[in-house]
Amino acid sequence: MKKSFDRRWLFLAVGLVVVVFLRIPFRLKYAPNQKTRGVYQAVESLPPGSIVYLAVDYGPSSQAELLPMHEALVYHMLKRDLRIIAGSVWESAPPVTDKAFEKVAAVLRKEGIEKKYGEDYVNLGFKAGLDVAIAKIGSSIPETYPKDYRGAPVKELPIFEDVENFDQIGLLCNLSAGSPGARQWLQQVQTRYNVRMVAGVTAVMAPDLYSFFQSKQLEGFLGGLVGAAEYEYLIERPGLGMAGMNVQSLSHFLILGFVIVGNIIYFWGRWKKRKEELE
Amino acid sequence: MTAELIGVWISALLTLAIFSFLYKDNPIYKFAEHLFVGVSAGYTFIQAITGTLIPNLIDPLRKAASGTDASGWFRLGALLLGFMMLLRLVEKTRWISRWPLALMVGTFAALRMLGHAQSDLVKQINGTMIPLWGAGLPWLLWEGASIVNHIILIVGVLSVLIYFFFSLEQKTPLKQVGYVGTFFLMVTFGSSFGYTVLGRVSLLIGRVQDLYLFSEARYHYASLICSVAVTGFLVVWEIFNRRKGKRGQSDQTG
Repeated sequence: MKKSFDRRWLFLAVGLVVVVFLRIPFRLKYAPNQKTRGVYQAVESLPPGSIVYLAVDYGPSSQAELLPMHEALVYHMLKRDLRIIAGSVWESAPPVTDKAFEKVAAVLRKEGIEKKYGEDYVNLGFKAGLDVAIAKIGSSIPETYPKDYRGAPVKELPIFEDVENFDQIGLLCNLSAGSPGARQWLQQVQTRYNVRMVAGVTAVMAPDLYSFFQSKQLEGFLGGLVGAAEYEYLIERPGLGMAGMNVQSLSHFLILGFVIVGNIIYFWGRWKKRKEELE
Repeated sequence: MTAELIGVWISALLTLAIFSFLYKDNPIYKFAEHLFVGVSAGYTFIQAITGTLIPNLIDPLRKAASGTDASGWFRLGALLLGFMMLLRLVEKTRWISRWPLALMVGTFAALRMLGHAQSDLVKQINGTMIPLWGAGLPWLLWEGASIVNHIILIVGVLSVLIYFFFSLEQKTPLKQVGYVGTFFLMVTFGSSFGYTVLGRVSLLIGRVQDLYLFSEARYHYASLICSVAVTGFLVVWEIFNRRKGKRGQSDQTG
């Protein structure tokens, strides 16, 4: 009977690396790539007071990957005196948006910077309708979201004084964990209204966005926890991304080791079988 | 006991309950799984009412009825379409649901077709119209525009397109060019796999970071106590199962 490796040993090894090395502080060298620098430069290029539309399309299940970059982006934008209008076409996203805003506002308060809800940032909540909702947001934001997540009429909020549609938006920033997400925003808003766009996505989605970055439809994008760590490095504010990145690298080395050993065993077994057949 | 503390304990227990599946399928994992499905269904149902029905139908109709905004009456059309969709549940009237369905399919198809054509076709073709030399292009850069990178891009696009070109029989030279395309495809699949590993490990790191946070004294060592409880449960369950298995075997032989 053929013997097989119990894969639970593999789970245990990866688990142990993560559990043990999260408690051992050490720092690896960071070299942010062009995609991450693109996002950073897009935010840096906006004059203070500009409006950023932050499309938050992920729920708590993707928080581990996307919340670090979400917080880093919001921190960078608010610190640069940009104003943020956040909305979502994912029903589970608005509480996550609130969480990020509250956390960053508290951090900035400690640094002596006061940011006000409705004036500097707003959470519009959820809008049903998938691609149709995204296309509608493109044509009129207050019409699509007559009220914010807290139930206040958006036209009465100071941030909406001079905002009607994407003509007044300086940058579209999408954070997504699936569909509808970055691709739908590219299709329905970026291309149609020629808006400057950046994105932050889960690692699984990242390979899909390379072609849009190459064609300059995206000025940059952050892929998974690596993207978050690189962005935190650029804004010089270590957070959850950088904290997790060291362990991430070690886990990758371990998995790489398993892939190499697995292949050696496979080819050795095949060679042995052929030899037996010849004999 | 604050609401935050209750949330932390539930979160720690359910995380460890789900992780227990790595050992094997067990009742505590099943409990967490069923709870997740139930809570998700409940949340989606409530969101459908508060996030969709009330702001998109009830509120506009209420405004129209109060005379504030007469355009709200148009939403009666949406109500009618929704009702027609529900007729799908009755055998005799099932055909009526095809009309609102057709409207939805038509709208989405048109919207997506337009978006795809502009974003995924025209702009992407435009993105491949790049200079191969000249214009101060450097020979080689790890990232960004360079002669080598542009040649790789063009060769990659053309060879993969030819690999998926089925209108002609794949003979020489199409076969050889298509063969080059398979290398580009393999690199793409490898990159997707690498990113997937990255994503999955990130999720694990996120949960472990939370578990470390929950193991602090201010949360009454929630993670530690829950991990002891889950491990203890697994041990008892395993012993019970083995004894049951042995009893079953002896009953059969007896």
